[in-house]
Order: sequence, then structure tokens, then C-alpha cells
Amino acid sequence: MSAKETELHPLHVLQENNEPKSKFLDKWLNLWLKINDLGNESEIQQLRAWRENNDRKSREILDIWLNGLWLKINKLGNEKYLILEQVCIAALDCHVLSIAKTCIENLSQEFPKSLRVKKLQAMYFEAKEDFGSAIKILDAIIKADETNSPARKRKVAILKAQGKNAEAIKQLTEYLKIFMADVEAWQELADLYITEHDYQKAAFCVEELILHNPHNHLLHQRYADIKYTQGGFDNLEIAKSYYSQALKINPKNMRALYGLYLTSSSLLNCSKITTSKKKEASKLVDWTLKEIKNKYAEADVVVTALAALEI
Amino acid sequence: MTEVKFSARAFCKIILHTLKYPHCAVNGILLAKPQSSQTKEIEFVDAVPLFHICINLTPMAEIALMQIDELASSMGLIIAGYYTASENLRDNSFEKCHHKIADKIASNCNPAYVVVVNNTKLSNEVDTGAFKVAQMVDGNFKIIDDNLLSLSPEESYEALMVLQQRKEYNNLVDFDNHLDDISLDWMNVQLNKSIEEYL
Repeated sequence: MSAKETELHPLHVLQENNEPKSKFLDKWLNLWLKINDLGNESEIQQLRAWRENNDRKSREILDIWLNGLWLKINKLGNEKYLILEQVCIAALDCHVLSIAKTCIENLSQEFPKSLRVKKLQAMYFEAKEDFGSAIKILDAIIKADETNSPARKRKVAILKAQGKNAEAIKQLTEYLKIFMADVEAWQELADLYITEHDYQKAAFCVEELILHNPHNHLLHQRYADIKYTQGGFDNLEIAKSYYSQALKINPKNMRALYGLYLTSSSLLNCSKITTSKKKEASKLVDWTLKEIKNKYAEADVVVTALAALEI
Repeated sequence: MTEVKFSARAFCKIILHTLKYPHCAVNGILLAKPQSSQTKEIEFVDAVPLFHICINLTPMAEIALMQIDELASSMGLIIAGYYTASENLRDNSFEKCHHKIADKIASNCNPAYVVVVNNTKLSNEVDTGAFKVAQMVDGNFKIIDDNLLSLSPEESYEALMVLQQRKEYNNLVDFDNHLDDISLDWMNVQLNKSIEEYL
């Protein structure tokens, strides 16, 4: 810091004790730098956590970047490139293409032949809705590396962005023939089928997901949701079992609890139901209703709207 | 043709819901005062944001509708409309956004309305131009002309600008949020207060 700057420093006015001027300022400057670094460190940790959990926090990531991280990016060592990639994707998500472009330029200078950076370039064209250029790059990536699954998945994403859901489904099923263990892709396929109201096939995808991850209560609940949406006596019976399983794995799953209530009360109205099953269903209705009320009492909220369930 | 008015609450909550989940399809319910079918005007006084996770599955929607119906009737309101914004930027037609809930509402309320948020019209200064509204008549959509849509009060869009800047969308609670944590209030009493403050 030059002599002139120190005089202009606001702390200059605060100096009242007898410490020599320069020492006093040094103390404060050091403290200020430390606090600033601490803030930085926590921001970087936050970014790391979001990266690891795959959280979609694009707006927040971009805020951290614009808040000063972009000035310090060269001090971050090897993590620099991971953060650049993260910020690039966040910027694309928020459609701030100028930032994405700088990130990509930085990365491709460091890794001129990297397929991972090429994928970012393709995503940049995707965001600009220049799908032709994006597909050209992606095809080049796949040609260079047959096993590159991210590039193939981007191609499905492009079809989805163009509103061609049927073709997206077709290509995703082709993809799953090669990469059968890709849980994310099964999830996406299930969602696509649900949007197209093809519940039978969506259910199949969720079955596959349950096989991969049998202890995930959300999957059991999702499967039951689909079966309930399909309707009919047999599907309701299946929905009942899967909601029960979801609740057994995680008793706090409210969707499963409400779902179990709904399925058992719809079962009561089915003409096909036998008397023993009817007894069981009406017991379930009473039990779930009691549990739902307990849950709200535990959370300490009074919900007048619950009265609607008692009819 | 019917005139359609949106209260500050209804208007702000619909847009804030789309802002909170820009990458998801969202939907919700519109509440209005009961009126005879002869009047040529409808005002949506409130909106209840419903889902953003999986809007095409019905069980939780049924639970939500039961509870909303109960609460609305205790406030002297009826469920009169359905709003939705699709995941894809360009899917803004009524047919693409059509949903079972809309049919259900139409079978209980005549006339029922569908509001589609036109994703391409969302910006920092949103007004009713971002909405496409249709009346549901026997499963068909009777589109209502843009210049029959209005905000009441007119300044609501200014309030929305402030809410947007203050990132109030983070405080909006939809039914999915409520199911994740039942202590959150899907009627958004707190947010309603903020909306009134900025008017």
C-alpha cells in the first residue's frame, strides 16, 4: 500500500491511541484480510458441498462468483478448474452466457484436448439454442470415446429441449441398453413416461430403480404413486403394499402416509373387495388418520383443513 | 366475454412459484368469490401453489384439493381455476399443459378457468401479458382475449418487482414443500403479509 493510500484509508480517522500509525494500520489490515479469507474459505466449502451433493443452486453459485470469487480464482490451486466448471454450468442454467464463455475459454486454454471441456462447449451452444452446432460437437465426442455417457445424455436433453419427448424416450431406451446401471437415466426415463402419461412403462422404470436401490423409501412411494394414478382394484392393492413398505423404511414420509390413507379409503369403495379385506382397509383408514393427526400435533401446527379427510 | 382480474396475492404467488423453480413444471389452484354464472367478471383473490416435483401423479393432488376445498369454503371462497407453467420454455399451449386437476375443477365449478404462464414472457417486469387464460367449456378451451385481463390493484406488478429483487420466492411454500416439512404453511400467510407491505 502506498503512503497516499494509507492516508485515505477510513481507519486513519479512527486512530486515537498512541500506537505508531503504521503499526496500528497493519494490525487492522491483517485482521481485515483474515476475516475476508475466512469468508472466502466458507464460500469455497459451500461450493464444494453443492458439487458433491449435485445440488442445483445455480443462482447462489453465480452470486458467490460475482461477489468477488472471480477476482481470486487464480489463488485456488487445482480446485480452480472444478470451480470454473461448476460456475460455467450455473451460468448456463441462469442464461448468463458471457460468464459461461469466459469459464470455457479459461478451461480450454488449460486443457485444449479435454472432452469434458468440449461437452461444456456443446452445452453453451445448447443454451444459445444452436442445437445443430451442439450435436456436431457431441457426435465428435462420442466418436472419440465410445463410452462417453455424458455426451449421449446431452443428446437426449437436446431432444427434450426441442419438445420431442417421443424421440427423447426412444434415444434414452437405446442408451439404457448400453448403460444399464445408470440410475439417473432410469429416473429420467420414468419422468419422461409420466409426462407422456404412459404409467405402465414408468412403473417398469421405477421397478428397475428399486432393484438398484431397494432401501430407498422415495422409490417405493413413487411406485405406489404411479400405481394409484393408474387406478383399478389390483393397482390399488399394489399401491397399498408399496406405501406400507415406504412407511416401514421411513415412518416420517408424509406422502406415503397420505397415500396409504387414500388407497385404503378408495379400496373401501371398490366393488371387488372381499369382506375380510374390507375390514383390513377400514382399520388402515382409522390408523392412518390417527397417525396424520399425530404428525401435525408433533410439528405443533393446527390444520383446520384436515377435517376434510374425515368424511 | 368475461373480464378476468387477478389480485396482488394471486398474481404474485403464481409468478413467484415459477421463479422459485425455474427448471420445473409447476401448478396450483386459484380461488375466487362465488358468483352467479351471469356476471361477466371474475376475480381470483388468492392462489395456492401446489407442486413442482411430479405434477402428473394424482394421489397428493387429491389430498391437496380436499384440504384446499375445506379451507376455501371456511373462508367463503371457491376453487375456480387452475394455473400451470410447463418445464419446457416453449410449451405454452393449453393442450400441452392440460391436466386432470383442471377437469376435476371444471366438473365442480362452472365456468372454470385455466391459466397458463407463458414462459417466454417472463422477465424482470412481468404483468398480465405473461398469462394466457381460457375458460373450460365441455372440455374445450375458450380463450379469453389478452386485453380483458387485469390486475387489481394495478400496482401489483410493481410489488412483484420488489419481491423479485428481495428474492422473496425463497419464502414461498407450495404443497410439495409442505409434504417435505409439515410445519411449513402452504397458505403462505407470511408471504401474503410481505406482498401487502410492498403494495
